[in-house]
Amino acid sequence: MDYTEDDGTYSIQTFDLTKRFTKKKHRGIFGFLRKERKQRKQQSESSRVTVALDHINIKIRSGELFGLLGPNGAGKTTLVKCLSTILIPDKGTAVVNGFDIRKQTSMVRASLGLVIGGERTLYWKLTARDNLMYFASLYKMPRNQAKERVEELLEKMQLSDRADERLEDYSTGMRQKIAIARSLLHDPSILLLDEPTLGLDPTFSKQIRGQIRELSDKHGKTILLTTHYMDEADQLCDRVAFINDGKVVAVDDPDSLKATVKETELVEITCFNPPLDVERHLKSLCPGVDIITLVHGDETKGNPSKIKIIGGNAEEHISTAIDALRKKNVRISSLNVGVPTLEDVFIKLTGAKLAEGEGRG
Amino acid sequence: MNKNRVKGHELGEVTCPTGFNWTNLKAELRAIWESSIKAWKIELAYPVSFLRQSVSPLIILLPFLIYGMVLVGGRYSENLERMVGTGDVVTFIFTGYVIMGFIGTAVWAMGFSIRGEQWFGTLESIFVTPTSRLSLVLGMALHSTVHQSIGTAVEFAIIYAVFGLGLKIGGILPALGIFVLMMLALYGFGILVSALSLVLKEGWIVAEGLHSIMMILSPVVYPLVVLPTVAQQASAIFPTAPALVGMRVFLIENYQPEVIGNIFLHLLALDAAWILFGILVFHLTDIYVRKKGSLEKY
Repeated sequence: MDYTEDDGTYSIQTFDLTKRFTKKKHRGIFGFLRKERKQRKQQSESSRVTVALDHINIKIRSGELFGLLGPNGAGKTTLVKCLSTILIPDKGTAVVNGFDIRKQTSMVRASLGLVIGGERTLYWKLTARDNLMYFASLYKMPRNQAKERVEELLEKMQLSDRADERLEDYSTGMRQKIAIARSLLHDPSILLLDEPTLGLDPTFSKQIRGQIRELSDKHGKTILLTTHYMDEADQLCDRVAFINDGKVVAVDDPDSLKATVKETELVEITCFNPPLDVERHLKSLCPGVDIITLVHGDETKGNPSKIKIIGGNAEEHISTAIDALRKKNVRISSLNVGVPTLEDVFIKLTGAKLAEGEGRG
Repeated sequence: MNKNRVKGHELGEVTCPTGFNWTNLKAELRAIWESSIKAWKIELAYPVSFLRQSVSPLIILLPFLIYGMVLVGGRYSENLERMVGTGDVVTFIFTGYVIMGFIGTAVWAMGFSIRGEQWFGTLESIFVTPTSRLSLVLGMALHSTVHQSIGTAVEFAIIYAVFGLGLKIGGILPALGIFVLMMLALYGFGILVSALSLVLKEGWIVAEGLHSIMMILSPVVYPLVVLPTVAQQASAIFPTAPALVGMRVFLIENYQPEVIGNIFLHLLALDAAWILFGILVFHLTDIYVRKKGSLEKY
């Protein structure tokens, strides 16, 4: 493959991007003394290799808000880390803003702003202003320009009045706003946002989504947003790629993706205390249904679990399913016959679930 | 895609200076300065720890001096005088101790600056900026050097007031020249240790080993002549041995170096060797950890 192929309209292109990790097997304190049989050693070595990215080929247009949707461990963060030069891929490469991530690392780093998971990516012992001023110097901004930009971003994030407080006194949401402000300091053309709303309350999530939308619409930024929140991707993204087990399984705009399961019916039963084998049990009772899946809710916090029945004749099986669940002492709180969501598309394509639980903003 | 969307940058456009030019060099120098200031701010956010770090060097020095004086039965040692021309135990040990502090700067403070960022969780954030990794390490080196220099000045004032030091004032300037050359080589050494601490998560074991070796092979509290010939020869690969000999020549009255050679040339050669070796290992380590995916792991 010609890795230099670039027609000028894509801000990010990946070419067969592949990354594997070898996990160390912990064999106990004196494990090194134990001899492993050759065959078993070979077997365990191959089972220790995780393919985080498997020949990923995606193209993101300039100015596009592109969502990367997948469950935890699907490879989203690995892709972001490869694109931002934190990781070197094993095979293939990517071109970011016209620069090769393997050969032109400085230019790639200068081209993008990164918001990566984890609260500790800023200095908690420094104030918000000091953090931003320091990172402005690392983005090589002249001092006067940096000062103006920092004030502007603090204003934008509605944190001007708390700018001189240490981050240790901030809430998670406020720290995330500062992390976003940091990624915008040098006005990059590309933003990589890795789960930017993870762990935030509904108010902050909404604010941050609004800011992402604004960055795309009013500032023309190319944004790669990774998330496992289907509604976030649906709400924000121009196009979405589904990633599962390191492979991209589909790329399209949310409406087109949803149209692929439109003909099929979706029955969603919201309930508490479903048995673990409920999927298998209902499948045996409902022939002809494509998928039956259980999404566990955090029931201790009052968030119910959801059983989704997807398939051409799903509606016909409602009474059978309800009876079967009642017999298993499942408390049913609601039943919906609805329109498929992005999550349903994902489930249909991969058989896997995006997220367990709904207890978030 | 929203058709009313504002058009952003042109493809290939970057707002940060890059490449070999004055603007970029200035930006890198500013990053070094700001990294040093950042390290100061974080250090001062822990006032008790700062106080401990300020006082402990003096507390460590005193037993050396007292031990030395008790062993020789006073401040002057005839044996020392026979070996190096001066019998002033306090001045001899103090000049060595100053250098010992800067060995610590290179091996511990500088070597572990990157490890510190790993502990904070900020390593990936700073490594994803276009600033050179070496500038980040040098920024932290600047902080620890200034920190150590202030500490040394305070120690000097106290030891001078309490014990008095037999120093030649006129020798301070050339001694500083030697000191700067030594520090350059120690920076190379520090870059090497910081690279090792990225790969070996228990890097302090390496640092402790290297620190001990350098301490043994440097004439900090004893002259080099007391070491076996092999050890004396091995000491030539560390900048501290020639630097200490050179600085004592300029600073201590009647000091006669046990090893005579062109100290300036020796140090220049060590500067080039340690800096190049440190940068090479750092570069290779950076590639290794990014391939392995262990940058943020601690």
